[in-house]
Amino acid sequence: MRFDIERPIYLQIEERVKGWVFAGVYGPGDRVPSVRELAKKMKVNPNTVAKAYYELEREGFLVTKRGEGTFITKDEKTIEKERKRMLSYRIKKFVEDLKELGINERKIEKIKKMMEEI
Amino acid sequence: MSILKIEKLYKKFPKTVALKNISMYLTPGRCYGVLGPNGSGKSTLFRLIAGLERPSKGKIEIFGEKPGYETKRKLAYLGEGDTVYPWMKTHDVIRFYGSLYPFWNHGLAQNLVEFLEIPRNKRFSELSKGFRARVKLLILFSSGAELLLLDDPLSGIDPASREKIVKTLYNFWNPTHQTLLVSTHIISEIETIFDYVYFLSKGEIVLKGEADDLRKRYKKSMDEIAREVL
Amino acid sequence: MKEFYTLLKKELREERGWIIGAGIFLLGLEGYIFFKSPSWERGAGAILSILPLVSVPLVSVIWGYSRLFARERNTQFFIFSLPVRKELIILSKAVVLLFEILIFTGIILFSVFLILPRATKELVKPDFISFLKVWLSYGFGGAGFGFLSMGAYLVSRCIRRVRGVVGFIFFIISLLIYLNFFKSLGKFFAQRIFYMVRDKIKEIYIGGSFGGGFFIFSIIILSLAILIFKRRMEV
Repeated sequence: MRFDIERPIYLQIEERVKGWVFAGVYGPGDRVPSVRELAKKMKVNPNTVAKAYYELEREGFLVTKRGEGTFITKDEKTIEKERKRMLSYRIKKFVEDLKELGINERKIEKIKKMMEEI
Repeated sequence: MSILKIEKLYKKFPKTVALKNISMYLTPGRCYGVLGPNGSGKSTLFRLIAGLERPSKGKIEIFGEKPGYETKRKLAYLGEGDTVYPWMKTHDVIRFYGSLYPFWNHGLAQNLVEFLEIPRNKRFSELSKGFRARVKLLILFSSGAELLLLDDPLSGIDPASREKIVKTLYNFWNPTHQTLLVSTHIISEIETIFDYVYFLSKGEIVLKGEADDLRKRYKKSMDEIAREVL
Repeated sequence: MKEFYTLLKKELREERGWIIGAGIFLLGLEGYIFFKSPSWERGAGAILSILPLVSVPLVSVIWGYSRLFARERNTQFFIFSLPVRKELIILSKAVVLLFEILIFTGIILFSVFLILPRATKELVKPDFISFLKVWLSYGFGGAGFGFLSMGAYLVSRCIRRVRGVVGFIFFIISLLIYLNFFKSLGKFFAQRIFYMVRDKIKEIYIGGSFGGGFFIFSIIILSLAILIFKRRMEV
Protein backbone atom coordinates (compact mmCIF):
# COMPACT_ATOMS: atom_id res chain seq x y z
CA MET A 1 0.00 0.00 0.00
CA ARG A 2 1.34 3.32 -0.96
CA PHE A 3 1.55 6.09 1.56
CA ASP A 4 2.08 9.77 1.09
CA ILE A 5 5.49 10.09 2.71
CA GLU A 6 5.03 13.80 3.12
CA ARG A 7 2.33 13.34 5.72
CA PRO A 8 2.46 11.54 9.03
CA ILE A 9 2.02 7.85 8.38
CA TYR A 10 -0.02 7.14 11.48
CA LEU A 11 -2.67 9.64 10.39
CA GLN A 12 -2.94 7.92 7.05
CA ILE A 13 -3.39 4.56 8.72
CA GLU A 14 -6.14 6.03 10.84
CA GLU A 15 -7.85 7.34 7.72
CA ARG A 16 -7.54 3.96 6.02
CA VAL A 17 -9.14 2.09 8.89
CA LYS A 18 -11.99 4.59 9.04
CA GLY A 19 -12.31 4.35 5.28
CA TRP A 20 -12.78 0.60 5.53
CA VAL A 21 -15.64 1.08 7.93
CA PHE A 22 -17.34 3.70 5.79
CA ALA A 23 -16.94 1.54 2.73
CA GLY A 24 -18.52 -1.36 4.53
CA VAL A 25 -15.44 -3.60 4.56
CA TYR A 26 -15.78 -3.75 8.31
CA GLY A 27 -19.02 -3.33 10.15
CA PRO A 28 -19.67 -2.17 13.71
CA GLY A 29 -18.33 -4.71 16.17
CA ASP A 30 -16.14 -6.48 13.58
CA ARG A 31 -12.67 -7.54 14.49
CA VAL A 32 -9.88 -5.62 12.78
CA PRO A 33 -6.42 -7.07 12.09
CA SER A 34 -3.96 -7.00 14.95
CA VAL A 35 -1.23 -4.40 14.94
CA ARG A 36 1.29 -6.92 13.63
CA GLU A 37 -1.01 -8.29 10.95
CA LEU A 38 -1.84 -4.86 9.66
CA ALA A 39 1.78 -3.77 9.76
CA LYS A 40 2.77 -6.73 7.64
CA LYS A 41 -0.06 -6.15 5.19
CA MET A 42 0.57 -2.45 4.82
CA LYS A 43 4.35 -2.79 4.99
CA VAL A 44 4.76 -0.29 7.75
CA ASN A 45 6.40 -0.10 11.12
CA PRO A 46 4.20 -1.88 13.70
CA ASN A 47 4.82 0.97 16.12
CA THR A 48 3.18 3.34 13.67
CA VAL A 49 0.15 1.06 13.41
CA ALA A 50 0.09 0.87 17.19
CA LYS A 51 0.04 4.65 17.37
CA ALA A 52 -2.80 4.85 14.87
CA TYR A 53 -4.79 2.25 16.80
CA TYR A 54 -4.12 4.12 20.00
CA GLU A 55 -5.50 7.33 18.54
CA LEU A 56 -8.52 5.51 17.11
CA GLU A 57 -9.21 4.03 20.52
CA ARG A 58 -8.99 7.43 22.11
CA GLU A 59 -11.58 8.69 19.68
CA GLY A 60 -13.75 5.72 20.54
CA PHE A 61 -13.62 4.34 17.04
CA LEU A 62 -11.80 1.18 18.05
CA VAL A 63 -12.20 -0.95 21.13
CA THR A 64 -9.59 -3.40 22.42
CA LYS A 65 -10.73 -6.40 24.40
CA ARG A 66 -7.93 -8.04 26.33
CA GLY A 67 -7.15 -11.44 24.94
CA GLU A 68 -9.67 -11.17 22.12
CA GLY A 69 -8.33 -8.49 19.82
CA THR A 70 -9.28 -5.11 18.52
CA PHE A 71 -12.76 -4.33 17.24
CA ILE A 72 -14.66 -1.57 15.52
CA THR A 73 -16.94 0.11 18.03
CA LYS A 74 -20.52 -1.17 18.12
CA ASP A 75 -21.67 2.37 18.77
CA GLU A 76 -23.05 3.46 15.40
CA LYS A 77 -23.41 7.02 16.60
CA THR A 78 -19.64 7.33 16.98
CA ILE A 79 -19.18 6.00 13.48
CA GLU A 80 -21.75 8.40 12.08
CA LYS A 81 -20.24 11.32 13.89
CA GLU A 82 -16.86 10.46 12.44
CA ARG A 83 -18.30 10.01 9.00
CA LYS A 84 -19.89 13.44 9.14
CA ARG A 85 -16.69 14.95 10.42
CA MET A 86 -14.65 13.47 7.60
CA LEU A 87 -17.25 14.42 5.08
CA SER A 88 -17.24 18.09 6.05
CA TYR A 89 -13.44 18.00 6.01
CA ARG A 90 -13.45 16.53 2.54
CA ILE A 91 -16.02 19.06 1.38
CA LYS A 92 -13.91 21.86 2.73
CA LYS A 93 -10.95 20.52 0.80
CA PHE A 94 -13.06 20.15 -2.31
CA VAL A 95 -14.24 23.73 -2.02
CA GLU A 96 -10.64 24.87 -1.72
CA ASP A 97 -9.80 22.90 -4.86
CA LEU A 98 -12.69 24.54 -6.69
CA LYS A 99 -11.49 27.95 -5.61
CA GLU A 100 -8.05 27.09 -6.94
CA LEU A 101 -9.64 26.23 -10.26
CA GLY A 102 -11.16 29.69 -10.33
CA ILE A 103 -14.75 28.51 -10.25
CA ASN A 104 -16.99 31.44 -9.34
CA GLU A 105 -18.07 31.95 -5.72
CA ARG A 106 -21.80 31.61 -6.20
CA LYS A 107 -21.44 28.34 -8.07
CA ILE A 108 -19.28 27.03 -5.25
CA GLU A 109 -21.95 27.96 -2.69
CA LYS A 110 -24.56 26.10 -4.73
CA ILE A 111 -22.42 22.96 -4.97
CA LYS A 112 -21.64 23.17 -1.28
CA LYS A 113 -25.33 23.35 -0.37
CA MET A 114 -26.05 20.36 -2.59
CA MET A 115 -23.37 18.23 -0.99
CA GLU A 116 -24.44 19.09 2.51
CA GLU A 117 -27.92 17.88 1.78
CA ILE A 118 -26.66 14.42 0.87
CA MET B 1 15.20 2.29 30.38
CA SER B 2 17.37 2.79 27.35
CA ILE B 3 18.84 0.16 25.15
CA LEU B 4 21.51 2.51 23.86
CA LYS B 5 22.73 5.73 25.34
CA ILE B 6 25.41 7.84 23.75
CA GLU B 7 26.61 11.01 25.43
CA LYS B 8 28.89 13.61 23.86
CA LEU B 9 30.73 11.06 21.76
CA TYR B 10 33.84 12.04 19.83
CA LYS B 11 35.95 9.89 17.58
CA LYS B 12 39.22 11.22 16.25
CA PHE B 13 41.56 9.64 13.74
CA PRO B 14 45.08 10.84 13.01
CA LYS B 15 43.91 12.95 10.10
CA THR B 16 40.22 13.58 10.71
CA VAL B 17 37.54 13.94 13.30
CA ALA B 18 34.95 11.37 12.34
CA LEU B 19 32.33 12.10 15.01
CA LYS B 20 31.65 15.25 16.99
CA ASN B 21 29.50 15.63 20.05
CA ILE B 22 27.11 12.80 19.25
CA SER B 23 24.32 12.13 21.70
CA MET B 24 21.66 9.50 21.14
CA TYR B 25 19.06 7.78 23.24
CA LEU B 26 17.32 4.65 22.05
CA THR B 27 14.36 2.99 23.73
CA PRO B 28 13.61 -0.67 23.09
CA GLY B 29 11.27 -1.91 20.40
CA ARG B 30 11.63 0.93 17.95
CA CYS B 31 13.29 1.43 14.60
CA TYR B 32 15.83 4.22 14.57
CA GLY B 33 17.41 5.67 11.46
CA VAL B 34 20.75 7.35 11.03
CA LEU B 35 20.46 9.19 7.75
CA GLY B 36 23.40 10.78 6.05
CA PRO B 37 25.63 10.74 3.01
CA ASN B 38 28.77 8.66 2.66
CA GLY B 39 31.56 10.02 4.76
CA SER B 40 29.22 11.48 7.35
CA GLY B 41 30.53 9.13 10.03
CA LYS B 42 27.70 6.59 10.03
CA SER B 43 29.96 3.58 9.76
CA THR B 44 32.32 4.86 12.42
CA LEU B 45 29.39 5.36 14.75
CA PHE B 46 28.17 1.83 14.17
CA ARG B 47 31.62 0.35 14.70
CA LEU B 48 31.86 2.17 18.02
CA ILE B 49 28.50 0.79 19.12
CA ALA B 50 29.43 -2.71 17.95
CA GLY B 51 32.56 -2.52 20.04
CA LEU B 52 35.07 -2.54 17.21
CA GLU B 53 36.63 0.80 18.08
CA ARG B 54 37.10 2.84 21.20
CA PRO B 55 35.64 6.34 21.59
CA SER B 56 38.10 9.22 21.81
CA LYS B 57 35.82 11.06 24.19
CA GLY B 58 32.36 10.57 25.58
CA LYS B 59 30.25 7.66 26.71
CA ILE B 60 28.48 4.77 25.05
CA GLU B 61 26.23 2.55 27.11
CA ILE B 62 24.44 -0.48 25.72
CA PHE B 63 21.98 -2.08 28.11
CA GLY B 64 23.67 0.11 30.68
CA GLU B 65 27.16 -1.27 30.01
CA LYS B 66 30.19 -0.18 28.07
CA PRO B 67 30.74 -1.95 24.75
CA GLY B 68 32.52 -5.23 25.36
CA TYR B 69 31.98 -8.95 25.60
CA GLU B 70 28.67 -8.67 27.48
CA THR B 71 27.10 -6.17 25.12
CA LYS B 72 28.20 -8.17 22.10
CA ARG B 73 26.12 -11.07 23.35
CA LYS B 74 22.99 -8.99 22.97
CA LEU B 75 23.67 -7.18 19.73
CA ALA B 76 24.22 -8.15 16.14
CA TYR B 77 26.03 -6.06 13.57
CA LEU B 78 25.54 -5.99 9.84
CA GLY B 79 28.65 -4.25 8.55
CA GLU B 80 29.69 -2.98 5.18
CA GLY B 81 31.51 -5.14 2.72
CA ASP B 82 32.03 -8.87 2.56
CA THR B 83 31.89 -9.84 6.18
CA VAL B 84 31.43 -13.57 5.70
CA TYR B 85 34.27 -15.94 4.83
CA PRO B 86 34.32 -16.36 1.05
CA TRP B 87 34.50 -20.16 1.06
CA MET B 88 31.41 -20.66 3.20
CA LYS B 89 28.22 -22.14 1.84
CA THR B 90 24.85 -21.61 3.49
CA HIS B 91 25.14 -24.53 5.90
CA ASP B 92 28.68 -23.45 6.83
CA VAL B 93 27.41 -19.97 7.58
CA ILE B 94 24.60 -21.26 9.79
CA ARG B 95 26.83 -23.75 11.61
CA PHE B 96 29.68 -21.33 12.19
CA TYR B 97 27.91 -18.11 13.10
CA GLY B 98 25.10 -20.07 14.70
CA SER B 99 27.41 -21.48 17.32
CA LEU B 100 28.97 -18.11 18.07
CA TYR B 101 25.77 -16.21 18.77
CA PRO B 102 24.47 -17.30 22.18
CA PHE B 103 20.79 -16.76 21.33
CA TRP B 104 20.80 -18.07 17.78
CA ASN B 105 17.42 -19.19 16.46
CA HIS B 106 17.99 -22.11 14.14
CA GLY B 107 14.39 -22.48 12.98
CA LEU B 108 14.23 -18.83 12.08
CA ALA B 109 17.49 -19.18 10.16
CA GLN B 110 15.97 -21.92 8.02
CA ASN B 111 12.87 -19.82 7.41
CA LEU B 112 15.00 -16.91 6.36
CA VAL B 113 17.01 -19.01 3.91
CA GLU B 114 13.71 -19.83 2.21
CA PHE B 115 12.29 -16.33 2.45
CA LEU B 116 15.45 -14.69 1.16
CA GLU B 117 15.80 -17.37 -1.51
CA ILE B 118 19.44 -17.94 -0.69
CA PRO B 119 20.96 -20.67 -2.84
CA ARG B 120 22.22 -23.44 -0.59
CA ASN B 121 25.09 -24.68 -2.70
CA LYS B 122 26.93 -21.56 -3.64
CA ARG B 123 29.89 -20.20 -1.76
CA PHE B 124 29.66 -16.68 -0.41
CA SER B 125 32.21 -15.42 -2.92
CA GLU B 126 30.17 -16.89 -5.76
CA LEU B 127 27.09 -14.88 -4.85
CA SER B 128 26.12 -11.57 -6.39
CA LYS B 129 26.29 -8.50 -4.20
CA GLY B 130 22.56 -8.59 -3.59
CA PHE B 131 22.64 -12.16 -2.36
CA ARG B 132 25.64 -11.52 -0.16
CA ALA B 133 23.59 -8.79 1.47
CA ARG B 134 20.80 -11.31 2.00
CA VAL B 135 23.18 -13.73 3.71
CA LYS B 136 24.33 -10.96 6.02
CA LEU B 137 20.71 -10.21 6.83
CA LEU B 138 20.07 -13.89 7.49
CA ILE B 139 22.81 -13.91 10.10
CA LEU B 140 21.56 -10.69 11.63
CA PHE B 141 17.98 -11.76 12.19
CA SER B 142 18.81 -15.33 13.21
CA SER B 143 21.21 -14.06 15.85
CA GLY B 144 18.51 -13.61 18.47
CA ALA B 145 20.05 -10.32 19.46
CA GLU B 146 18.02 -7.50 21.02
CA LEU B 147 19.82 -4.65 19.30
CA LEU B 148 20.28 -5.01 15.57
CA LEU B 149 22.71 -2.67 13.88
CA LEU B 150 22.37 -2.36 10.13
CA ASP B 151 25.08 -0.27 8.53
CA ASP B 152 23.95 0.73 5.06
CA PRO B 153 22.20 -2.54 4.22
CA LEU B 154 20.91 -1.30 0.87
CA SER B 155 23.73 0.55 -0.83
CA GLY B 156 25.09 -0.82 -4.05
CA ILE B 157 22.46 -3.56 -4.11
CA ASP B 158 20.24 -4.38 -7.07
CA PRO B 159 16.56 -3.40 -6.81
CA ALA B 160 15.27 -6.97 -6.43
CA SER B 161 17.50 -7.65 -3.44
CA ARG B 162 16.75 -4.23 -1.98
CA GLU B 163 13.07 -5.01 -2.10
CA LYS B 164 13.67 -8.39 -0.47
CA ILE B 165 15.73 -6.82 2.28
CA VAL B 166 13.11 -4.17 3.03
CA LYS B 167 10.43 -6.86 3.03
CA THR B 168 12.50 -8.89 5.48
CA LEU B 169 12.75 -5.92 7.80
CA TYR B 170 9.00 -5.54 7.88
CA ASN B 171 8.26 -9.22 8.19
CA PHE B 172 10.92 -10.40 10.57
CA TRP B 173 11.50 -7.45 12.84
CA ASN B 174 9.75 -8.13 16.12
CA PRO B 175 9.40 -4.89 18.10
CA THR B 176 8.67 -6.73 21.32
CA HIS B 177 12.13 -8.28 21.32
CA GLN B 178 14.21 -6.22 18.94
CA THR B 179 15.38 -2.68 18.42
CA LEU B 180 16.66 -1.65 15.03
CA LEU B 181 19.29 0.95 14.27
CA VAL B 182 19.63 1.41 10.55
CA SER B 183 21.98 3.72 8.72
CA THR B 184 21.38 4.56 5.12
CA HIS B 185 21.63 7.23 2.49
CA ILE B 186 19.07 5.56 0.26
CA ILE B 187 16.09 6.83 2.18
CA SER B 188 12.99 6.71 0.04
CA GLU B 189 12.50 2.94 -0.12
CA ILE B 190 12.75 2.44 3.55
CA GLU B 191 11.46 5.59 5.16
CA THR B 192 8.13 4.32 6.39
CA ILE B 193 9.87 1.95 8.77
CA PHE B 194 11.56 4.54 10.95
CA ASP B 195 10.07 5.63 14.23
CA TYR B 196 12.79 8.15 14.94
CA VAL B 197 15.59 9.53 12.81
CA TYR B 198 18.93 11.23 13.30
CA PHE B 199 20.37 13.21 10.43
CA LEU B 200 24.14 12.99 10.38
CA SER B 201 26.35 15.33 8.41
CA LYS B 202 30.14 15.57 8.61
CA GLY B 203 30.18 13.75 11.92
CA GLU B 204 27.52 15.83 13.64
CA ILE B 205 23.82 15.37 14.27
CA VAL B 206 22.13 18.24 12.46
CA LEU B 207 18.51 17.24 13.00
CA LYS B 208 16.63 14.58 14.88
CA GLY B 209 13.06 13.69 15.71
CA GLU B 210 10.09 11.37 15.39
CA ALA B 211 9.59 10.58 11.74
CA ASP B 212 5.90 11.48 11.70
CA ASP B 213 6.53 14.67 13.68
CA LEU B 214 9.10 15.77 11.15
CA ARG B 215 6.67 15.03 8.34
CA LYS B 216 4.02 17.12 10.06
CA ARG B 217 6.42 19.94 10.79
CA TYR B 218 8.13 20.20 7.44
CA LYS B 219 5.33 18.77 5.32
CA LYS B 220 8.03 16.83 3.50
CA SER B 221 9.25 13.26 3.29
CA MET B 222 12.39 12.14 5.11
CA ASP B 223 14.10 11.95 1.78
CA GLU B 224 13.30 15.57 0.97
CA ILE B 225 14.22 16.77 4.44
CA ALA B 226 17.52 14.94 4.09
CA ARG B 227 18.25 16.69 0.84
CA GLU B 228 17.67 20.03 2.45
CA VAL B 229 19.44 19.41 5.68
CA LEU B 230 22.42 17.38 4.57
CA MET C 1 34.35 -23.97 25.05
CA LYS C 2 31.95 -24.68 22.25
CA GLU C 3 33.13 -21.48 20.62
CA PHE C 4 36.73 -22.65 20.63
CA TYR C 5 35.72 -25.87 18.96
CA THR C 6 33.80 -23.93 16.29
CA LEU C 7 36.77 -21.65 15.64
CA LEU C 8 39.11 -24.62 15.47
CA LYS C 9 36.93 -26.39 12.92
CA LYS C 10 36.82 -23.25 10.82
CA GLU C 11 40.61 -22.79 10.93
CA LEU C 12 41.15 -26.41 9.92
CA ARG C 13 38.69 -26.07 7.10
CA GLU C 14 40.51 -22.99 5.85
CA GLU C 15 43.93 -24.59 6.12
CA ARG C 16 42.80 -27.86 4.56
CA GLY C 17 44.10 -26.92 1.14
CA TRP C 18 47.49 -25.84 2.41
CA ILE C 19 47.93 -28.90 4.57
CA ILE C 20 47.12 -31.28 1.75
CA GLY C 21 49.16 -29.33 -0.79
CA ALA C 22 52.24 -29.01 1.36
CA GLY C 23 51.89 -32.59 2.52
CA ILE C 24 51.85 -33.90 -1.03
CA PHE C 25 54.78 -31.71 -1.94
CA LEU C 26 56.83 -32.99 0.98
CA LEU C 27 55.92 -36.59 0.27
CA GLY C 28 56.90 -36.10 -3.34
CA LEU C 29 60.20 -34.52 -2.43
CA GLU C 30 61.12 -37.13 0.13
CA GLY C 31 59.91 -39.89 -2.13
CA TYR C 32 62.15 -38.66 -4.89
CA ILE C 33 65.13 -38.59 -2.54
CA PHE C 34 64.22 -42.03 -1.28
CA PHE C 35 64.39 -43.55 -4.71
CA LYS C 36 67.42 -41.68 -5.91
CA SER C 37 69.53 -41.88 -2.78
CA PRO C 38 71.24 -45.25 -3.35
CA SER C 39 72.80 -43.84 -6.50
CA TRP C 40 74.11 -40.74 -4.80
CA GLU C 41 77.25 -40.30 -2.81
CA ARG C 42 77.21 -41.78 0.62
CA GLY C 43 75.33 -39.64 3.08
CA ALA C 44 74.18 -37.14 0.47
CA GLY C 45 70.70 -38.57 0.46
CA ALA C 46 70.53 -38.35 4.21
CA ILE C 47 71.53 -34.70 4.19
CA LEU C 48 69.10 -33.79 1.45
CA SER C 49 66.25 -35.51 3.19
CA ILE C 50 66.95 -33.59 6.38
CA LEU C 51 67.10 -30.22 4.67
CA PRO C 52 63.33 -29.60 4.63
CA LEU C 53 63.50 -29.88 8.40
CA VAL C 54 65.64 -26.76 8.49
CA SER C 55 62.89 -24.86 6.82
CA VAL C 56 60.32 -25.86 9.42
CA PRO C 57 61.17 -23.16 11.94
CA LEU C 58 61.24 -20.60 9.16
CA VAL C 59 57.92 -21.71 7.74
CA SER C 60 56.54 -21.70 11.24
CA VAL C 61 57.64 -18.14 11.85
CA ILE C 62 56.19 -16.86 8.60
CA TRP C 63 52.97 -18.78 9.02
CA GLY C 64 52.49 -17.64 12.59
CA TYR C 65 52.95 -14.00 11.74
CA SER C 66 50.86 -13.95 8.59
CA ARG C 67 47.98 -15.99 9.92
CA LEU C 68 47.11 -13.23 12.34
CA PHE C 69 46.91 -10.71 9.53
CA ALA C 70 43.48 -9.76 8.44
CA ARG C 71 43.32 -11.63 5.20
CA GLU C 72 40.05 -9.94 4.54
CA ARG C 73 39.57 -6.99 6.82
CA ASN C 74 35.80 -7.14 6.76
CA THR C 75 35.56 -10.75 7.92
CA GLN C 76 37.86 -9.97 10.80
CA PHE C 77 35.83 -6.92 11.80
CA PHE C 78 32.67 -8.94 11.76
CA ILE C 79 34.08 -11.71 13.95
CA PHE C 80 35.14 -9.11 16.49
CA SER C 81 31.58 -7.86 16.70
CA LEU C 82 30.56 -11.29 17.98
CA PRO C 83 30.80 -12.32 21.61
CA VAL C 84 33.99 -14.28 21.05
CA ARG C 85 37.01 -13.68 23.18
CA LYS C 86 40.05 -12.77 21.14
CA GLU C 87 42.19 -15.24 23.10
CA LEU C 88 40.11 -18.09 21.70
CA ILE C 89 40.63 -16.88 18.16
CA ILE C 90 44.39 -16.66 18.66
CA LEU C 91 44.46 -19.97 20.47
CA SER C 92 42.61 -21.75 17.69
CA LYS C 93 45.11 -20.46 15.17
CA ALA C 94 47.98 -21.55 17.40
CA VAL C 95 46.58 -25.06 17.73
CA VAL C 96 46.21 -25.38 13.97
CA LEU C 97 49.77 -24.12 13.53
CA LEU C 98 51.00 -26.80 15.91
CA PHE C 99 48.97 -29.39 14.08
CA GLU C 100 50.41 -28.39 10.71
CA ILE C 101 54.00 -28.31 11.93
CA LEU C 102 53.58 -31.73 13.52
CA ILE C 103 52.29 -33.14 10.24
CA PHE C 104 55.09 -31.65 8.20
CA THR C 105 57.87 -32.68 10.57
CA GLY C 106 56.26 -36.09 10.86
CA ILE C 107 56.39 -36.59 7.12
CA ILE C 108 59.96 -35.34 6.90
CA LEU C 109 61.30 -37.36 9.81
CA PHE C 110 59.48 -40.49 8.79
CA SER C 111 61.09 -40.25 5.38
CA VAL C 112 64.47 -39.58 6.96
CA PHE C 113 64.21 -42.71 9.03
CA LEU C 114 63.44 -44.66 5.88
CA ILE C 115 66.04 -42.95 3.74
CA LEU C 116 68.91 -43.14 6.23
CA PRO C 117 69.66 -46.84 5.81
CA ARG C 118 69.45 -46.57 2.03
CA ALA C 119 71.52 -43.44 1.83
CA THR C 120 74.28 -44.39 4.22
CA LYS C 121 74.24 -48.06 3.31
CA GLU C 122 74.49 -48.94 6.94
CA LEU C 123 72.23 -51.08 8.98
CA VAL C 124 70.09 -48.84 11.03
CA LYS C 125 67.19 -50.11 12.97
CA PRO C 126 64.84 -47.22 13.39
CA ASP C 127 62.76 -47.88 16.42
CA PHE C 128 59.44 -46.35 17.10
CA ILE C 129 60.24 -44.71 20.42
CA SER C 130 63.21 -42.80 19.10
CA PHE C 131 61.21 -41.71 16.11
CA LEU C 132 58.46 -40.49 18.38
CA LYS C 133 60.86 -38.55 20.57
CA VAL C 134 62.57 -36.86 17.67
CA TRP C 135 59.29 -36.12 15.95
CA LEU C 136 57.64 -34.56 18.97
CA SER C 137 60.76 -32.61 19.79
CA TYR C 138 61.05 -31.16 16.32
CA GLY C 139 57.33 -30.65 15.96
CA PHE C 140 56.74 -28.83 19.20
CA GLY C 141 60.03 -27.00 18.96
CA GLY C 142 59.24 -25.87 15.44
CA ALA C 143 55.77 -24.76 16.48
CA GLY C 144 57.42 -22.83 19.26
CA PHE C 145 58.99 -20.61 16.65
CA GLY C 146 55.57 -19.96 15.22
CA PHE C 147 54.16 -19.08 18.61
CA LEU C 148 56.96 -16.61 19.23
CA SER C 149 56.20 -15.13 15.86
CA MET C 150 52.50 -14.79 16.72
CA GLY C 151 53.44 -13.11 19.95
CA ALA C 152 55.67 -10.73 18.00
CA TYR C 153 52.78 -9.86 15.73
CA LEU C 154 50.44 -9.13 18.62
CA VAL C 155 52.96 -6.91 20.34
CA SER C 156 53.67 -5.08 17.10
CA ARG C 157 49.95 -4.36 16.74
CA CYS C 158 50.04 -2.39 19.97
CA ILE C 159 52.35 0.13 18.38
CA ARG C 160 51.22 2.56 15.79
CA ARG C 161 54.39 2.96 13.77
CA VAL C 162 57.43 0.86 12.80
CA ARG C 163 55.38 -2.21 13.60
CA GLY C 164 57.54 -4.67 11.68
CA VAL C 165 60.67 -3.55 13.47
CA VAL C 166 59.08 -3.81 16.90
CA GLY C 167 57.79 -7.29 16.11
CA PHE C 168 61.17 -8.40 14.88
CA ILE C 169 62.94 -7.05 17.95
CA PHE C 170 60.45 -8.79 20.21
CA PHE C 171 61.09 -12.06 18.40
CA ILE C 172 64.85 -11.81 18.58
CA ILE C 173 64.81 -10.81 22.23
CA SER C 174 62.62 -13.78 23.12
CA LEU C 175 64.98 -16.13 21.31
CA LEU C 176 68.00 -14.63 23.04
CA ILE C 177 66.33 -14.95 26.42
CA TYR C 178 65.69 -18.60 25.76
CA LEU C 179 69.14 -19.41 24.43
CA ASN C 180 70.74 -17.60 27.32
CA PHE C 181 68.77 -19.34 29.99
CA PHE C 182 69.14 -22.69 28.38
CA LYS C 183 72.68 -22.48 27.11
CA SER C 184 73.36 -26.17 27.27
CA LEU C 185 70.27 -27.00 25.30
CA GLY C 186 71.23 -24.30 22.85
CA LYS C 187 74.31 -26.33 22.10
CA PHE C 188 72.24 -29.37 21.26
CA PHE C 189 70.13 -27.22 19.00
CA ALA C 190 73.19 -26.14 17.06
CA GLN C 191 74.46 -29.68 16.81
CA ARG C 192 71.14 -30.95 15.55
CA ILE C 193 71.15 -28.83 12.47
CA PHE C 194 74.29 -30.51 11.34
CA TYR C 195 73.72 -34.14 12.15
CA MET C 196 74.75 -36.37 9.33
CA VAL C 197 75.12 -39.93 10.33
CA ARG C 198 72.99 -42.24 12.35
CA ASP C 199 75.04 -42.20 15.57
CA LYS C 200 74.22 -38.57 15.87
CA ILE C 201 70.62 -39.60 16.22
CA LYS C 202 71.39 -40.36 19.83
CA GLU C 203 72.24 -36.76 20.44
CA ILE C 204 68.94 -35.81 18.96
CA TYR C 205 67.14 -38.02 21.47
CA ILE C 206 68.75 -36.04 24.23
CA GLY C 207 67.95 -32.83 22.50
CA GLY C 208 64.37 -34.00 22.45
CA SER C 209 63.83 -32.26 25.72
CA PHE C 210 64.93 -29.06 24.01
CA GLY C 211 61.92 -29.10 21.78
CA GLY C 212 59.57 -29.48 24.69
CA GLY C 213 61.28 -26.79 26.73
CA PHE C 214 61.25 -24.33 23.88
CA PHE C 215 57.62 -25.05 23.22
CA ILE C 216 56.63 -24.30 26.79
CA PHE C 217 58.72 -21.16 26.73
CA SER C 218 57.00 -20.01 23.54
CA ILE C 219 53.58 -20.57 25.09
CA ILE C 220 54.56 -18.38 28.00
CA ILE C 221 55.75 -15.65 25.66
CA LEU C 222 52.62 -15.91 23.52
CA SER C 223 50.37 -15.69 26.58
CA LEU C 224 52.28 -12.61 27.68
CA ALA C 225 51.87 -11.07 24.27
CA ILE C 226 48.12 -11.80 24.35
CA LEU C 227 47.85 -10.07 27.72
CA ILE C 228 49.68 -7.01 26.46
CA PHE C 229 47.58 -6.99 23.32
CA LYS C 230 44.33 -7.24 25.23
CA ARG C 231 45.21 -4.40 27.56
CA ARG C 232 46.10 -2.11 24.70
CA MET C 233 43.71 -3.08 21.97
CA GLU C 234 40.71 -4.79 23.46
CA VAL C 235 37.24 -3.43 23.21
